[in-house]
Amino acid sequence: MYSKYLLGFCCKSTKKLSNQVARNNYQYCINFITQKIMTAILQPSVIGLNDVEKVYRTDKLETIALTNVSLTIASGEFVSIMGPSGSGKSTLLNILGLLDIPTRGTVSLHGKNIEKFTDKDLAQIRNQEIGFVFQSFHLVNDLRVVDNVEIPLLYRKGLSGSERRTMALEALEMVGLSSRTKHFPSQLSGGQQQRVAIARAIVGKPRLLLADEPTGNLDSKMGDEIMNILHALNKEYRTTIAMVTHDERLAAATDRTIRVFDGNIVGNTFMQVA
Amino acid sequence: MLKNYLLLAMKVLLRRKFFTFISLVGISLTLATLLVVTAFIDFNIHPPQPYSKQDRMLFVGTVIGIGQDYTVINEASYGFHDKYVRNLPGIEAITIQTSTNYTVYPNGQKYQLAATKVDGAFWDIYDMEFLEGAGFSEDDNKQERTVAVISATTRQRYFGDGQALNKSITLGDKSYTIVGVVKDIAVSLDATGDVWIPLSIGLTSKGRAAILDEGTGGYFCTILAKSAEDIPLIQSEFQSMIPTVKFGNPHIQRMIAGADTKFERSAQQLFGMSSDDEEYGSQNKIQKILTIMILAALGFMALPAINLVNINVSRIMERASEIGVRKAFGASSSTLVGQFVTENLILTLVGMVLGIALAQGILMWITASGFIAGLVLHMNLRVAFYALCMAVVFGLLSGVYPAWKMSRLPIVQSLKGSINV
Repeated sequence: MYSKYLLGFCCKSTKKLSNQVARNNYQYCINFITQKIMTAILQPSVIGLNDVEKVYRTDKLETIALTNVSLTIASGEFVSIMGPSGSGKSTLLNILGLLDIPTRGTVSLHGKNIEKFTDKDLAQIRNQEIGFVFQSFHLVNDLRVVDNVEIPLLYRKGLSGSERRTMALEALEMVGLSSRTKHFPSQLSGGQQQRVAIARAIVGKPRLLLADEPTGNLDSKMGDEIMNILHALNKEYRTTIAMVTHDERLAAATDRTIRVFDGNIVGNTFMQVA
Repeated sequence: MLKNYLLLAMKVLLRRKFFTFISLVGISLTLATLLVVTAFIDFNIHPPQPYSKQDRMLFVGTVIGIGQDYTVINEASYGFHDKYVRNLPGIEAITIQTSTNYTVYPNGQKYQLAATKVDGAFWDIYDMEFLEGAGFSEDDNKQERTVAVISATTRQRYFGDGQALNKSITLGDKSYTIVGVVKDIAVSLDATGDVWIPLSIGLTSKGRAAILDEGTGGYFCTILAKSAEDIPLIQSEFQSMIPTVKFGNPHIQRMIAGADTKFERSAQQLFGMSSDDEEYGSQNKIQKILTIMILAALGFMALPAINLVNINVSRIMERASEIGVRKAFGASSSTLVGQFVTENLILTLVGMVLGIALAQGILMWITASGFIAGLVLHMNLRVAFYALCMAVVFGLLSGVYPAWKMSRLPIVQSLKGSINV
C-alpha cells in the first residue's frame, strides 16, 4: 500500500514535467531517476532498456526511430505506450518483444543482457516468456482456430500433441471462444479473431504480453471486450502487459502510460491508485 | 508438428491452384521423362528372364588393342575368349557368340533376320522362355548341325499362328531345322536375335585361333561364375591375364579389356567407350558411370527446379505474415527451413505420384507399340524407388533456397508485409 502512495507521488511529479516536451535533457534525467526508483520499489523488472537507440538505414536514408530510451517494466505491470503515428512506439514494442534489436544500447530480460544471445536463443525466449497480440490479428487463415492457438506450442519441446491441444482449448476457454475451436479465422468477427490472437498469445503462459494496438481494428464494444480480457489476465494471472494504443481512455485504465514522441520517451505517467 | 505441416502444405497448394498446377505439371513431366529413361536403363541392367542368373554373369565385349599410331577397337576374337577367358578360375561356363544378318523372303515378304551364332552353353547360361522345343546342344554345335532356334516374331513371319518345330528355314545357302521357339528378346540385350544357329558353322580354324588379328573380331562372350562371390575374383584374374595375351597382330603393343557386370556392360553401351579410356576394366569406371548418370539427371532436373524456385520465392510474399507470426512465437530459422522444405517435398511427392502414373502410361505405350521387339518396359519397385530418390532430390533442389530466404526474413518487416525478396 505504501508503495502505491509513493507511486502516485512520483506520477504527479512526472506528469507535470512531461508537459514540457522541449526540456528533453531534463526529462531524460527524470525518466532515468523514475525508472531507478520504480525498479527499486516495485517488483523485479521483467524487461529493461538502457540508452537504446534504433536507426533504420537504407542506401539513401537514415531514420532514427528511437533515441536514448531507457525503460523498465516491472513484473505484473500493465503499461500503455502512447504517441502519434511514427513516434517510435511500435519500434519500442518490437524491441521490448525481442522482435527487433537496437542499434545501440542494451536490452535486459530478468536482469540478463540479451546482447550476445543467438537467433535461436531469442526465439526460445520469445516462445517461453513473451506473447504478442497484433492490431491486425495475424492469424493464419489456412489453419483452424485451435491450430492457430497451438502455434507457439509447436516450438516448445516436450509437449505431446494431446497436451498442446488441451492447452489450446484452455486458452480458448479463457477468452470465451470454446464454441469456435474448429472454425477458420475468416468465419469469425474481428473481435473474435482478436480473442483468438489473445488465446494464441497466452497459451504458452508467457510472463510478458505485448499488444500493438489490440483494439485498433475493432469497434468500441469489441475493444472493451478485449480490454476486459487483458485486464483480467493482468489481475488474475499477474501477466505483465505492455500495450501500444492511441486511445486515452484505454491508457487511463492501465498502471502506467509511457508517451513517445520523435523517438524519445517524453512522459512516464503512473496512474494514482485509489 | 508434421501433421500441422502437412495440413498447411495442402492448404497452401490449394490456395493458388494455378501455381500449383504449373508446378505439378513441371515436376511430373520432368520425373516422368527421367523415369522412362530410368526404366529403359533398368531393363537393360536388370533384364527379365533370359538374365535370371545375371548376378553370376560377366560379359566380355569390346577390347582395345593399342599400338604406336594404331588402335583397334572391336569385339574380341573367338580365340581370345576360347584360349584366355575360358580358363580363368571361378568360371562355371562361358558361351561365345557372334551375329550376322540374313535377308529372307518368307511368304513373299522381305525381312532382315538377325542371326545370333551361339554354342551349346548359351542355352544353359541364358534362361530362355521356350514356346516350343528346346535349345540345341554343344554336340550339335561341334558337329555343325544345321539346327536353329527362332523367336516368336520369326515364327509368326514364317508360319503364322502355326507350330514351327521340326520345320525348316533357309538362311543363306543352308536349310536349318527348327528345334525350338523362344519368346522375343529385346534388341537392346546381348542375347537378342531373330534366329539362333550353331556358332561353329562357318568358323574357320584361322578364325578359331586368331587373337586380335585384323578382321577376326566380332565375338562376344558371357561368363557364368560358379557363384556371385567369384565375380570380383574373375574380374581381377581377367585383368591379370590381359598382359599375358600374345597377339597375332604385330602392330599391337598392349590391350585394354574388361569382364563387365551387366551394369557396366549396359553403361558402356549407353555412354560409349573411348580408345584412350585407361580406366577401362577398373573399379573407378563404375563411379565414373554413376557420376555421369547422376549429373545427367541433375542437369535435366535443374531447369524445372529453377522454375519451381521462382514460384516458391514468389509465394514468400503471400506468406510473409505467417512467417512473421511463427518467428515471433518462437520458431527459429532452422525450424522454418524444415517446415518449408517439408512443404515443398510434399508438392514434389504429389508430382512424383503423377509422374509415375504418366511414366507407366508412356512405358505401356512403348511396349504395346512394338517399336523395339521384345522390349517390355514397366514400373517396378526398383524404378519406383529411383522415382522417390529423384523426387526428394528435386524437392530439396527447389525447396532449400526459398526456404532459406523465407527463414531469414526480418520478423517486423514480415508482419508488416513490407518484405523485399
